[in-house]
Amino acid sequence: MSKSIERGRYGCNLHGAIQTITQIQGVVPILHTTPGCGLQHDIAKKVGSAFAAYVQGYEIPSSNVYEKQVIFGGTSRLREQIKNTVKVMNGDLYVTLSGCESEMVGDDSISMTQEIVDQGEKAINYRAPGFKGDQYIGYEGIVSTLIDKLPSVYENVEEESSDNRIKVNILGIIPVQDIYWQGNLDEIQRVLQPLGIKVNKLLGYKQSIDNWRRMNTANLNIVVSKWGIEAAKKLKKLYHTPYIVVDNLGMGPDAMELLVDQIAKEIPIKVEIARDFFRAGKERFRYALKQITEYYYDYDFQKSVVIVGDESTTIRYADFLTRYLGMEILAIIITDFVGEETKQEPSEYLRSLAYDIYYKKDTREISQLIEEANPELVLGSSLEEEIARSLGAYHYTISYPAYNKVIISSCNVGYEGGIGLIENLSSVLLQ
Amino acid sequence: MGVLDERKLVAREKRNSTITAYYGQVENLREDLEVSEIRQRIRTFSQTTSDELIVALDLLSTIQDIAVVVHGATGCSASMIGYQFRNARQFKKDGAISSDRSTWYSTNLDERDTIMGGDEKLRIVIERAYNDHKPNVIFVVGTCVVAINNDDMSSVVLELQEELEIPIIVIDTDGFKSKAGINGSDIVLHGIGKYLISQNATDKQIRQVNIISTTLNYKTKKELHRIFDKLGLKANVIPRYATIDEIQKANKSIASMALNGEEAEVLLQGLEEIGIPAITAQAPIGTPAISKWLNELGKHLEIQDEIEIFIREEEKNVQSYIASQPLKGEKVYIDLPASLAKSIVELVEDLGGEVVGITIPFVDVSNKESLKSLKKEAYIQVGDGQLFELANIFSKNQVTFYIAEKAIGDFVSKQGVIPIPIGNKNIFFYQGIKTFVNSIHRAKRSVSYTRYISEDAVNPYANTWTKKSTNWYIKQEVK
Repeated sequence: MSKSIERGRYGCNLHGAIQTITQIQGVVPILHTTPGCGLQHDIAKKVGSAFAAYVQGYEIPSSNVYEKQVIFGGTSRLREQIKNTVKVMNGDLYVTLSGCESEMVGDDSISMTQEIVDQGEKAINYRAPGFKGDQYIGYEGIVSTLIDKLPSVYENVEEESSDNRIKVNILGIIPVQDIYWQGNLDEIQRVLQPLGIKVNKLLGYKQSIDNWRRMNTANLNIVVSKWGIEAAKKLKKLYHTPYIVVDNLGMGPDAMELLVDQIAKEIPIKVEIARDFFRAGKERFRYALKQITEYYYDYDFQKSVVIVGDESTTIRYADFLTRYLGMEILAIIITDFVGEETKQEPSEYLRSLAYDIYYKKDTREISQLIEEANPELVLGSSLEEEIARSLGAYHYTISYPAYNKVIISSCNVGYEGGIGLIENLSSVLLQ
Repeated sequence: MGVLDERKLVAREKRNSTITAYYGQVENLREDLEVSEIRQRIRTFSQTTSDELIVALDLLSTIQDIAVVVHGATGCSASMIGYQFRNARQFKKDGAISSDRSTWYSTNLDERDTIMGGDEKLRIVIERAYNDHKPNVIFVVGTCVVAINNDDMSSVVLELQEELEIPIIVIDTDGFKSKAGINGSDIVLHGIGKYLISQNATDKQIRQVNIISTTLNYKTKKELHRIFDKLGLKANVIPRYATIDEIQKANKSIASMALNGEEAEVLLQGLEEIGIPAITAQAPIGTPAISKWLNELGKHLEIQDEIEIFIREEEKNVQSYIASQPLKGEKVYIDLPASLAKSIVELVEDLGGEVVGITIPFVDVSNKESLKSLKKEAYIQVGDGQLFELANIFSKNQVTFYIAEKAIGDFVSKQGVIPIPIGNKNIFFYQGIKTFVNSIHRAKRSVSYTRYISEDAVNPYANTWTKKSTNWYIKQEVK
């Protein structure tokens, strides 16, 4: 039995699907749900650094099912809605998303979507009832669905023979849940570019259906959180594309070198051609680190810390803070997982990063764990601000929800992420 | 039978003949509202909109020292994350209250629960909320999942009510019973009136008046208190940003009033039934409407003279703002509930502007008066959101400013129109006039930003759609 959650940081399956596809230019979601489902997400996403999209918020088409459709079925209402959406809104792809109500009533969203596909429109469907999981499941589900169904409405793009670059897809970065998602995708692109690697970001700025049609041309899929594994497996099965799961898509030079080493094991890249780039990155990072030296010693930056957030995010911070700043990680509290919290098994690597690893979704229980650990610094979402304050600890926001924050180009990966963290965290610790 | 005697509140459509879809001339809409059986309309294409659940959560999130249990999937309470942010900001910035112990829960229903039922889970969560927080009240909010599943929230609550010493109130929001989101706050008002306010109106405080609002922000609350303090009166502002104690004190007031009549109706009526008269007046926005509102209050409390002096004094402070005519020659579009729209139209015209179109989220018998004051040949859209129709309207009409409660700046600026969102400002009473005029000046300074944004904006709406008539997708419902 799933546990109740106090002050949760979760949307649902439907929300995960919406926040993913609205970050692909030209994609129009068609919700087959009760009226407020789309708006719940719109209100929640604003504290997750997703602000602008091709279609968002009040603009998202929705069948807005009412009592009549609940009693008599809503299939014909959906047919009408799909047909008219195509007439009102321009889209490169329409995605029907059926929510709790229609899945319980048993509306046939698959056939209704197929009807317009038969008429030559580009459309797919994804069954997204909220009771089947949170937004992480929604991301995983919609990405798999796009991989499976897109080729049936669009031909895959053939490899451009003139482009000899190595191509990679980035999987596992979830818009909104990763509050730095935009900057992170850009930084990965920036770091891998000198190696002759062309990064397919798939989501965010200038990413369209074409990017998804090109997924099959990748030489490697890079999975940066557990939520990208299923998609990578699928792509391997369909296109024989190898993939790597990066345990720590970290910040700072060491993590970047490890990442490159891991890529090099799978595909032939000439690391030496980028030697200058990595050397410059390391130098710049060290230069940044040097600037806080006096503060580092004078203000006792070697804090004891509790980190709260998605697994991949917490790993990133734990590694960086111990490696470079000598902080002591008392506990990592992971908030993205499926199933019972007591049955989760952290990896060896994760265990090596902190004294204690917990899996929790309930904000009150998370606060209690923080209180027991009694750290000097709390890295988490805005929901952890209160407990940090009551303990007299510093608080720095790294995970969703992030109140009072607008994050567009900042990141928490790579060289830039490391420098940004040094800058921002120092500012917090000097308060 | 009185409104609070009913166990469940009847949906707004059935109570008030509410319509949520219409586009046409005001005159035809007025005629429509006169017939006994209203011609209900539906959209055959629609965009996401507020439902009962989200409106109820918006309101409940502001009540202090309570626990809200959302009985549904995790996503059904996702908006609370955003509401908490908004409220915390208001508390911090406007010093609303020093601490709020309110919290919220999701029963986190999964697939198994949709088959087997979630009663047991609900019981556990209510007990947990009680033991962990000792809140003053627990509100249990329904969602479409439990409604379809026929989970009996009331029996669980009834049983626990005997064990626990605090009121537990069921808010029966299915998300699909009513097409009008406002039905959600109606249900909350019904629950509050029925279970929190004693039906005996005794021990009356002759200087205390209930001000009922489900949407006001804290800045408006401050302005209300300023005015009432000056008049030597006490405003008991409920239920938004109120404590349970304040809500319970409602039966001791001498009368009740609203800022925006249509949203307060259920509680105004309920309180009237226990002997607290409701004073009705147009929304107090703009000097004529403010005077009317205050005069109605004065008449009831027999303090007309004080009120008259007060009005004269306060009006002096805003005269220069109105005389500056900041909207002279500007074309303004208004998207607000009818009772607010009526007052805002008057204010916009007082400030020299021309109202070129109006959108209201819903219309029903409670709006007859508001509609009367609008020009009969003017076009009016009824719908919450439904931005595709607005895109159509904007493409056919020249509009400079768009005034609305909700923040849809992204959409509006893409159309080359400058939004003036008033949701997080106080536009009521005298301070409100100053704020509104300042907002117009700010909006004028947003010209270059808006132009920059709209220059290469990609609008998702098909050209063929914007050429069609605006009401193309609005049809009469076939029963």
